[in-house]
Amino acid sequence: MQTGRVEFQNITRICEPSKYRALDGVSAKFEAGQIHAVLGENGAGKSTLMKILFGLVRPNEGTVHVNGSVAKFASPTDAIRTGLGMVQQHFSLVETLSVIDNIMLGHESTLGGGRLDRARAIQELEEALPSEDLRLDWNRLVGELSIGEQQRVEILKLIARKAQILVLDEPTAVLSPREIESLFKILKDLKARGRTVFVITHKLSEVFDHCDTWMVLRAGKFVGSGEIAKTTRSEIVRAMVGADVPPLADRVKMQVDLAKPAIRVSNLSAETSSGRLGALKFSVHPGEIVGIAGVDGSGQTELVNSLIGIQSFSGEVEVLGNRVEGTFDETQASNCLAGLLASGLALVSEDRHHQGLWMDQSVWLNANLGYKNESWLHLGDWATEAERFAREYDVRAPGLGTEVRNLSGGNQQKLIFAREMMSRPVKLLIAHQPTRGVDLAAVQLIHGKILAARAAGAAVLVISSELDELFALSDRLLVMAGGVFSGEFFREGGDGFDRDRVGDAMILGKRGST
Amino acid sequence: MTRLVPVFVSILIAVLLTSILTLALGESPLVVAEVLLRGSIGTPTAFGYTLYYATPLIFTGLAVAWALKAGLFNIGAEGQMTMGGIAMAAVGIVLADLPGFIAWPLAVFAGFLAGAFWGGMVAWLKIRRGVHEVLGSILFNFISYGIAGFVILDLLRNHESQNPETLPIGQSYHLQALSDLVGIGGTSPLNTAFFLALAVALLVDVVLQRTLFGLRIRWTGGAPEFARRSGVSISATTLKAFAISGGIAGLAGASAVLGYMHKAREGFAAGAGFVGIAVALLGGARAWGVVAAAILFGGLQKGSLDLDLDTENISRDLAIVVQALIVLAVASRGALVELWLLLKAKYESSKARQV
Repeated sequence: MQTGRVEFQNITRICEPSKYRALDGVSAKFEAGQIHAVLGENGAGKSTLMKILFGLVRPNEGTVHVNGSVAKFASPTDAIRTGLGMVQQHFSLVETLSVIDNIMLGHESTLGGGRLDRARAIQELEEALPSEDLRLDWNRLVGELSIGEQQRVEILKLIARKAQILVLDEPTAVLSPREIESLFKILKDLKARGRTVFVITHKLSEVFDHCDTWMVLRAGKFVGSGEIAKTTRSEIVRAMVGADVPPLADRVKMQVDLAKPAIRVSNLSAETSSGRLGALKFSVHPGEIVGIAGVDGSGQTELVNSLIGIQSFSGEVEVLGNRVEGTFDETQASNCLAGLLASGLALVSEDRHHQGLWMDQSVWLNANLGYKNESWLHLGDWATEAERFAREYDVRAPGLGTEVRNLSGGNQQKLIFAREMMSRPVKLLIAHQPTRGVDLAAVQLIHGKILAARAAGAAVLVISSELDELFALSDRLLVMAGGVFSGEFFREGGDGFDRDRVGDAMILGKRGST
Repeated sequence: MTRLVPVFVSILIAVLLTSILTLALGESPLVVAEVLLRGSIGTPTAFGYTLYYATPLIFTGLAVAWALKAGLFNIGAEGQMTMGGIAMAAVGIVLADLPGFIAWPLAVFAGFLAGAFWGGMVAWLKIRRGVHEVLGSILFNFISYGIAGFVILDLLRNHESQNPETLPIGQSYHLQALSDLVGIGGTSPLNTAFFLALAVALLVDVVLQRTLFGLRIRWTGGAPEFARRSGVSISATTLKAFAISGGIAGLAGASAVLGYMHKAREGFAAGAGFVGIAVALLGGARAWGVVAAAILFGGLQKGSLDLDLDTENISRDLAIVVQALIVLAVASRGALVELWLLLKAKYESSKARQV
């Protein structure tokens, strides 16, 4: 008998104390043995729905049926016992333990005297292994594994607990194209063994290539579902955003001024605990967008930190005519960065929660932080300024006094962009992961603003792990792998942007570095 | 306003626990409460003493709260207060003949500088050598006791006196008693240092809320990585913030040294630096909260003195127990809120099951 059918009936989830309906009367049916894509913008309720399935969150109304009977899970432990498992976006692995120890953790089989019976755990796991691609060196430390391999450990944990229904929350956000391929191959093997897989995602290409059915939530409500084979891409996009997405503004033809680069880097090398950079050389000119592609952790963070002078490095870096010293002295470094910001640098850092916002302060304070130099604060002006930013960048908040932690990711990111782009004339924009985890409408708005900055003659450096984004924006694309540039591609002339070749450069460089 | 609710609930819980304790010791909580109230606010003199006890706590509480805003934990207020008091006494003894309008402001300034130096060194060690400020400030407390002992018992010792104390400071350094000046505080030693404390509270509040400097301090404490990526120097801000925190603590000795004893006596800080931590935690976000908490603690200290006489089984140490219970209740208010939500959820789900 096939197990793994899931049905939601009239699920409503009301958040306290705001009375916000994260889910509002959602009903949907999922067959066993298929890969189901759960789609929706950020905050649409897809994660909440899956957490309800998994017993992490309880619905205020409605019931979940698994294999035809009502499932009432008091906790994830209950859900696991019934054959459900979830891989969260942020892995919960112990990096200092081996693969097999991580898999055993929580349901260890022991020999006498409390000694772990690893051999038995490995044997059981190998017998249950649904896909050869899941095979890892069981004795390696998890901390030594790549992100893709760590994700496999998470899936193995579910296999070892005999999960029939697997939920993966945004599983491809941190993977390279090749790792994504191999993940979906694993998921297809799981499907072939009769397991049901839910994938929460907002990347449509994966959905069309690999999934069997789709369901879209919008603002907590069920919008539609169906079989992938019988649906077009634009139907799903319309369901997700509630309207047709306007196409990006036309790319204006720009005369790039090669004489005065906004960024000029030569022979930049650095070594930090998180990674190293090897003799980088590149420049970015006014009127062009240079993209940097690469799997997360290929040296992008170290590169950005060097450009803004907050980490030590060797080599020559010149930004907006200022020489950036690769210094250890923190005070000197912050003076340098303050100088860069004053000369027209707009900086959007990778981690908006820690590096771009003060989460427990208001929208209006966050809109004004960083560039105001008045020693007595004119807070009235600040509110006016914030209002202007919010209008121009469509930042949706209940009020300007709202703490930014209560905004959605998209609105937080729009607020950062508004502050960086509108508070001063921008000569150079450095945007690191400009749209990570941001809803489609916000992505569209931010991309439009980046193109507008280019059209206004600013130099732009975009560092992203989303190839679609880089292809849409870049004039020139550099691929980073293992701390070095492993490829350069041009929008015009040459072969253009080729997904396979860029993907290869992302991986090949990595191999070259080890 | 809603921010204050957990604080009042915490105080209520502390009162409740104290009552149970009192009952267990065979005394009536009502009698104890009556003694405490009468002793702390019952007469002008009693209330004057309450404010006198509160004065150093306002300074040390503000010092700790200020550092907390910058994300730093200053538990060295005791040492900074000691250094500040010694400096005030030293100026008042060495330059005893300065005229009045310059004398006491100079002493106050010296107290601030000495405290700021003491705090600044801790911050410097943190920035340059990675010594955590908690460790640094504890150790600097001990060093300050040694220096105070040397100055009071040797360098500036009053050999005429039976007590371990310095020579008297010059007349022009004396801060006036409020009973002489405006006729309040009865015969208590309450003096103008109390107004100095209120002025500093006002200043702290304005600087933190309305100036770029204060904003940068709060920013560095609240979102350091964001501040750093906006060109704010974390180390420079840390140094300034901790030095000023030390400076504020350095003023705490003014009330006793300049306003009452007119000399520095061994142990004059009397734990005010440590109680200041509790005051800062209770007073929380704003400077006025710190002032209110300091007066509450001052009242407890004063009121509890009468417990020795007026009750059989309870001594003045009850004040310390109450203070500790308040701090514990405030510190665990997050857990209290969670407990409340859990109970509420349990109740609602049990109600739902019955339907």
